[in-house]
Amino acid sequence: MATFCCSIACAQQSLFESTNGDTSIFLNQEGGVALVNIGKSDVRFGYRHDVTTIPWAFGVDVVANITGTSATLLNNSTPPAGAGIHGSAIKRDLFRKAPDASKLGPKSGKVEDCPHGLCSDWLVFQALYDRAQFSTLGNTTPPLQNAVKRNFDGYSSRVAYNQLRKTAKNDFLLGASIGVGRFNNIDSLKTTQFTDNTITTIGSTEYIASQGTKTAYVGAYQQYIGVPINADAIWYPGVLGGVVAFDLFVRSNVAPTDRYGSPGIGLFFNKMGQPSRPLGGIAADYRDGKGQVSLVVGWKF
Amino acid sequence: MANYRIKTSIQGVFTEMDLYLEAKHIALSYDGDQTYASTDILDLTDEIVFQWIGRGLSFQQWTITLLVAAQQPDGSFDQDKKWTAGGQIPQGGGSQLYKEIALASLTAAAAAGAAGKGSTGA
Repeated sequence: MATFCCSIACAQQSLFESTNGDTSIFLNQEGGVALVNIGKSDVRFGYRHDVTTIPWAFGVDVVANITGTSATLLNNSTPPAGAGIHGSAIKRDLFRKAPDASKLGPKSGKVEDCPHGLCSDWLVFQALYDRAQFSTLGNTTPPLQNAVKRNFDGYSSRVAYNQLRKTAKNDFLLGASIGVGRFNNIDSLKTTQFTDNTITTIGSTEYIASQGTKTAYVGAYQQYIGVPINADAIWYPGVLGGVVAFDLFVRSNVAPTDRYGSPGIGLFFNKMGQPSRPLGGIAADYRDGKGQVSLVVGWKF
Repeated sequence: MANYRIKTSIQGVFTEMDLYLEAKHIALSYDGDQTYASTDILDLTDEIVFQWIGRGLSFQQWTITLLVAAQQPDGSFDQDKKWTAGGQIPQGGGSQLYKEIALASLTAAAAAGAAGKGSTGA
């Protein structure tokens, strides 16, 4: 059985994830992050070229799905199921000018205040490639069809705009993104377990040479050109010291195929003194008349 | 005046940052693991003027470390001397530091771990 890495998981993305592993918030990311999101588990290795005096930064992530207790980045020189490479470019300060630090002095006052509440803003461009391998079944009505093994190569790009806004007692991370790319609809399909038998016939006797339980996605499988639009509004109540953050989010696809809108809410717990690094969280969203809940736990290594 | 090597290290997660040493805008590179760093050679007399503004999420903790070493006539550098500061980003804005650091007040880096000379910023 092959696991599926969400095709729109992103380079340098934050750990404020919804059920499908996606976000529109991008923060400085550690070099290595392992993330378990029920339904998907992955490990990411990132590099970011970032110099504070240059308004552009660049990053690349290599992502692999964890199957069992291991994650494979290359298999026979090709990306295995669920692997991906995500590149990004980040432009800082579109609508805000940095303070003139050359005028900063012992009596210069609080030049660090955020004018009109806008502390920072940044724009992220991304190009993503993901590879996945999985099985599909048209339906589970007897007599069962054979499961079809599929390979999926997903290409996409998107642009995201983020803001950090502050009031006297609250912080807000705001994000919105729009993209275009080649996706599939397995997030909309149910999964089922099936037994895959290999039968050998010797003479008039049939022998089961091997068998194993596999997972398949059930329903009409589609690949399509999608236009995902995502938005997040993360609220840090000041009274909670940056340890707790609430994420109101929307995930959607506005293309004709597999069109959907999925609103949700997340609750994340952060390490004391590191509000941008959730230790874990829970996210709930609503899609196609059904609710979904996911737990997210991240480790830095 | 004499040449000094300044190794700057700033730890924390920021959405933006500006550092000036002796009114010179310093380019800090990010190592991908919450640390920004730079190494610069500056011509100093008896102090170094340090200016820093960092923005990010409130309550984000940060630590700044300077390792300062005088350059000898043969081009080599003395043992590093250390200055540190730390704090967290306040609500409603960012953090800023303006310090005129007396070179004579710095302590040897090896001994500074137990008695770091510096201040706690806002």
